[in-house]
Amino acid sequence: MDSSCGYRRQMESGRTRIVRAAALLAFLAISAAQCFAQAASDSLQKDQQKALDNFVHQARQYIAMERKLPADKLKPTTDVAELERERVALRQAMQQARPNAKQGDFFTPPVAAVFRQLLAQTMSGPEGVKIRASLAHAEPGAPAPLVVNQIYPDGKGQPLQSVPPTLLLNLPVLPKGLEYRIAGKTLALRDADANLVVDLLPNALP
Amino acid sequence: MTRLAVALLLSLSPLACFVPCRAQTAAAAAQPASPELRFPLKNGSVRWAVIGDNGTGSEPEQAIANQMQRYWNVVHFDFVTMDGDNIYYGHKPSDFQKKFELPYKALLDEGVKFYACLGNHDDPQLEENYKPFNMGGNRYYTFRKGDVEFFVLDSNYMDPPQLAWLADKLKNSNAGWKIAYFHHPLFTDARFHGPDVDLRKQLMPLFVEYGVNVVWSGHEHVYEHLKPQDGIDFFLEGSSGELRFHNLRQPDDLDILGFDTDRTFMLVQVSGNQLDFQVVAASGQIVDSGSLTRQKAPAQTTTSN
Repeated sequence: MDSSCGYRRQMESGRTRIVRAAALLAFLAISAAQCFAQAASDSLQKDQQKALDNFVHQARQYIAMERKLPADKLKPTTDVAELERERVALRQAMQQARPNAKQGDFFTPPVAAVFRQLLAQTMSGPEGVKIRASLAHAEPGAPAPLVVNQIYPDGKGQPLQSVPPTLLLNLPVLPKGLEYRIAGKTLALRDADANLVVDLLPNALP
Repeated sequence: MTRLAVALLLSLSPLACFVPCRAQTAAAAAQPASPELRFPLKNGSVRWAVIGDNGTGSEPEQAIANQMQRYWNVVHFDFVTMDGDNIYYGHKPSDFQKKFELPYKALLDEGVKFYACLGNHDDPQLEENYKPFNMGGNRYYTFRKGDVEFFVLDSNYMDPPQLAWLADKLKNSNAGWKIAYFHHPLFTDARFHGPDVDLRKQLMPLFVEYGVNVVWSGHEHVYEHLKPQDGIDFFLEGSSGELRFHNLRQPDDLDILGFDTDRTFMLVQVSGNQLDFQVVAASGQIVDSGSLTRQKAPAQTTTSN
């Protein structure tokens, strides 16, 4: 009886140890996987932040370059023709300053990936419904085709699509003189003073 | 039914309003020189007119401008606030002439100042630098008249710097009356666009926290005096050139009074704790009038919609 009991205890003790060891191994494996995932995630976030920092830096450099041009920003006047002349002069000066400008100069592949992710997150988040309503509310019309380093088209007096504030709160803040604009699903970077398409990101909005 | 359909079609196009507006202009011309004013003019008061969605350059805009001139002879308002869509479609020098300088020539000649905000049909860079709009080269700005400070916002692009600027300006304002105006409405019973709820989410907390008294907007081509929202009074004046005939939903639960069958403009007077207003149609009909008492502190009433 006693020996049988002792044997059973030994057997149970052995099983318990095996179970404990297995549990420990599983715990260690899960912890290691979690650590690895966290590290990967941290690394991705750092990469994303770096991409956004580069984007903002580039935007600031663009505005700094524009301010150095002899054709400066518009000054208040009653003469609309003069305002238009100044704007055209500024646009042409910026076009000449960036003769090789092309799509993706600012929205580089890493920046584009982060922007698409940010926009998707924002649009699918709790404020998504309000943002979509705000976009629909603003008389969007059919977007005119955008071309980098060309005039931001106003078509035949087509209204400017307003940008929902919550969307702007979730994108990097631009220096004064540059702004985001939405045309259909495209996110454009617009030089406000020169009315120029600086860069564009197609299929930015989900 | 056919007449209603024709009226609806006519109201949809800014250029197609020729027939009814001719009649309105004729009606206005037949009116007595001294128009009816439903509030007493007070010495030292701040007086202004409000227009919105006006810049069509078509006859209805002129009809409203004529009514404004008639009332200016009595009220001598100093300035006009513009709720946006100041210049529709083209923005050539001739457009600024046709859609602004000519319709309001008589008022401009009297030295009446116009303070514009940007609508979605405006050309931001040209208009903020167009001196007669008094925007000083800015998308958003403030100006003060007596005890009234106006916060003029760009609702096309409400970015974080503008929100931070607004919070700072409101916080540091010592004006007795704080009035905000911008193009896109936070509340409306008009059906074409509806309210901008995303904009509302960002602006209402600031308006409530810093005690904005009255808000004006446009965008919808109707007139509305809305029920107070979170203790703030709201007007929508977007029919001073454009009009969306019968565009208010019925029942228009948010409105104290809505009007969508003629173009309108508003007259406003602030004196002490009281704001008087009167709404005049292109035909000369007085559409609405009343007085508001300044809120002592941001009240807490319910927000609907």
